[in-house]
Amino acid sequence: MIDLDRSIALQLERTAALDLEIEALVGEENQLRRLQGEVDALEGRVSRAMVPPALRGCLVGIKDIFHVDGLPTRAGSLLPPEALAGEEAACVRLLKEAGALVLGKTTTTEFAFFEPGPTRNPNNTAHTPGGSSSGSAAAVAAGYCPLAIGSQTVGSVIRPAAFCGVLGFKPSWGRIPSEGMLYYSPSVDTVGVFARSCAWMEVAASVLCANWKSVGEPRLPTVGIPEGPYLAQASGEALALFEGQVDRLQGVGWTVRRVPLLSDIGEINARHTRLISGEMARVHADLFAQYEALYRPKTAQLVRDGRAVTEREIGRARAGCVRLREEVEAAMDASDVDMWLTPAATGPAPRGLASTGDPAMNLPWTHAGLPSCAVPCQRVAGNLPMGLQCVARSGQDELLLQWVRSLEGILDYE
Amino acid sequence: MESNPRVFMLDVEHLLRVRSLVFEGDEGFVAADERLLEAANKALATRPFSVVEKEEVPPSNSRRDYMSLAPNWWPDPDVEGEMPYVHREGEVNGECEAYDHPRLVGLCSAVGTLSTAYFFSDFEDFAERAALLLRIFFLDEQTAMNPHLEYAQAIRGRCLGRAEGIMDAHGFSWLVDHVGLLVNSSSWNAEDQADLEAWFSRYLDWLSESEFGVEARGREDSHGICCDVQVTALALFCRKKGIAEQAFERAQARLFKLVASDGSQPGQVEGADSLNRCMTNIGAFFDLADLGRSLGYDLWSGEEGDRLQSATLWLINHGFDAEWPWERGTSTESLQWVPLLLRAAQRLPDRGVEKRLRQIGDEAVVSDWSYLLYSSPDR
Repeated sequence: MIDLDRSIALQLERTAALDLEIEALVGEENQLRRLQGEVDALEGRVSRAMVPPALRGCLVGIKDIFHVDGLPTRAGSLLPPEALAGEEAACVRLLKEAGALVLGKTTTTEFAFFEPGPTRNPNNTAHTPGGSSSGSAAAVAAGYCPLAIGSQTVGSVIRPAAFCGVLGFKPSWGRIPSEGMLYYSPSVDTVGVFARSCAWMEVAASVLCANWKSVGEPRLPTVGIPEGPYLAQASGEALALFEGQVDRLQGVGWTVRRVPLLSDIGEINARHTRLISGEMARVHADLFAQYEALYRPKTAQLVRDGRAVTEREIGRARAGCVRLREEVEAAMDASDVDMWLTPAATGPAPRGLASTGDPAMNLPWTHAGLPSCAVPCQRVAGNLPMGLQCVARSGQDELLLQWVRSLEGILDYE
Repeated sequence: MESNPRVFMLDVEHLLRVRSLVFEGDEGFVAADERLLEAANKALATRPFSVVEKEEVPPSNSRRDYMSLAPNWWPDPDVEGEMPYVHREGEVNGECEAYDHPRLVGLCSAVGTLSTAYFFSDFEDFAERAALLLRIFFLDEQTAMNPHLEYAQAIRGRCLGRAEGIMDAHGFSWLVDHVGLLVNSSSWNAEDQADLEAWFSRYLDWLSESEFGVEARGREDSHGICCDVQVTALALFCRKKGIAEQAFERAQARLFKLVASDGSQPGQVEGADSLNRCMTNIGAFFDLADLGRSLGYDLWSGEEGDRLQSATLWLINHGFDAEWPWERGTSTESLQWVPLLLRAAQRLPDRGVEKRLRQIGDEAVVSDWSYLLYSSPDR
């Protein structure tokens, strides 16, 4: 029998010491007392259960745009938490039902946009952890918790996961219920997960994703490399490293095909940007009217820009999401590709905290609502992790995680 | 090859003409189009509605039976157990919220918004959501409503349902037109259409044969006309032209019973909420006139037409131009008049209706999405 009280107290002590520098967690008074209460409630429930819940006692970090009962939601903003309050997020409820304990709220860029928070990359504190799910990625990387919840509207799960050297899973759009989060752009916002290992990721996904079905051990996928202007957005360093990993996969017998794809990436990028700024302006219309002065400049500008986006343009952009998904999947059918493989980011985590990096490598997959997963693969100068991004067909989340597990033994990541 | 929308209340030619103007980016329709799409974008987040969500199980022991409470009936504080409930004129009992009427209203409104927005945009996600809402409310074995209203507008301690409950489903008359706007959507297939027609066919049988249906048909007030409009619209949807014609003719005759020669509605102005009741009645006659077009009748001509015109102008004179002299009940905002005035303006040119629309303000009028359905492109 694990002494949860004791192990949690020790973990909190360790976390508190580390977080003085990393700042992945939103400060909380009486964290230990709250967690002890959660442990007591959990153990009371577990003692009556026939089968212990899948995540019993697992600490999870929750990005501070998701509501958690008993903890305020600040979303990295200066707005009063009362103005942002809401019902506990569905994903948090699912985690709690499965026995998880909320370690605390993790930092986020303001309203999950680009205004950075204070969080540092645990691998090299002179660098950004990426964003917007900065705290969730850093918390898992620093060993505070094996799992954390984030969200992705452009590249906010995959990019920080890659920068921090952890697994990051952005399921198919809508696969994890999103109720109870502060939306940024509801048409593309996707709840995602950070995990220390494939095993943790699979348990979390089975708890969080609707109708999760175990797929056993599938055959190896045929991998597609999306050639063209999309891939060219990555830096020379990222591309060289990526090609090295591709060689490695081919070396152990994986089939790799190079397929021209996303030739209209400029148009897709522009459409996605208009969609999310238009929806952000609508989501924030009432709050912005009341608290405009409290919004930081980049976020305020996004809301203002978004007002100029018409409803018809939003509708067209949303139709564009569906069209892109169909086009990508048609290309997969035509070239007999099961999974796309790309660099997870345009390069390693940038130095400093002023920018959370470039989400260009993640944008089209988010736009299309396809499931993607960041897999750490190598470190470069400065101990900075680099990652690969795997993308599957919509709804093939289970297969994707199995394929990612197959990579575990091939790529060098801890 | 696209099919024309299968609608009975709306004017197909007008719809197609405005749609092509909207697609061309005609400036006259931009504001209404934006409001419609804004409403539809919000409706995309609408959770599906189902009668099985209510907590209380109807007397039949099936949650799939629709159940609602009569809105103006309240617990009696002077009696032990507070039953039977007592009538309080004009006061709506909040208990009603826990039953199926808000779900039915929510469904009709969301499907109307989504399918209209789909028609004017071709954005498939609107149709997809509308289709999902329809399947869950009417077709899914686990969640579908049974096609009757035996437990509508129940009064605790008095009755399990009433003929007045048929009014709860007044939105069905429009819902079937909104389904017709999905005709070219890949999200609403022939099987869905056939299943929904079969559902409404069974409901129509209930309306024709049940005690409540017979009673509602015999009423000479709002309940009677709204029941006839439902039957006419649903019979057309179910391809039962004979039943539609009978209901239309019965309803047409009501014009002379409900409306006096000066256009007033003598039996309808007493009691709370009388302005809304009179507006509902005129709206129902407008609906009937539009349905009549699908049956080859012209309710705007002849003696009936004269009476309908008088009724419309009387309502505008007494309800819009002046302070309603009878008990108003809930307040009526000028914007609530927009759809009715737009419909009236189509039928009564040169009778001053346009002037009233201008009083509301051009910007407000052209921003109302009913402007897409009723305004002449020449306006």
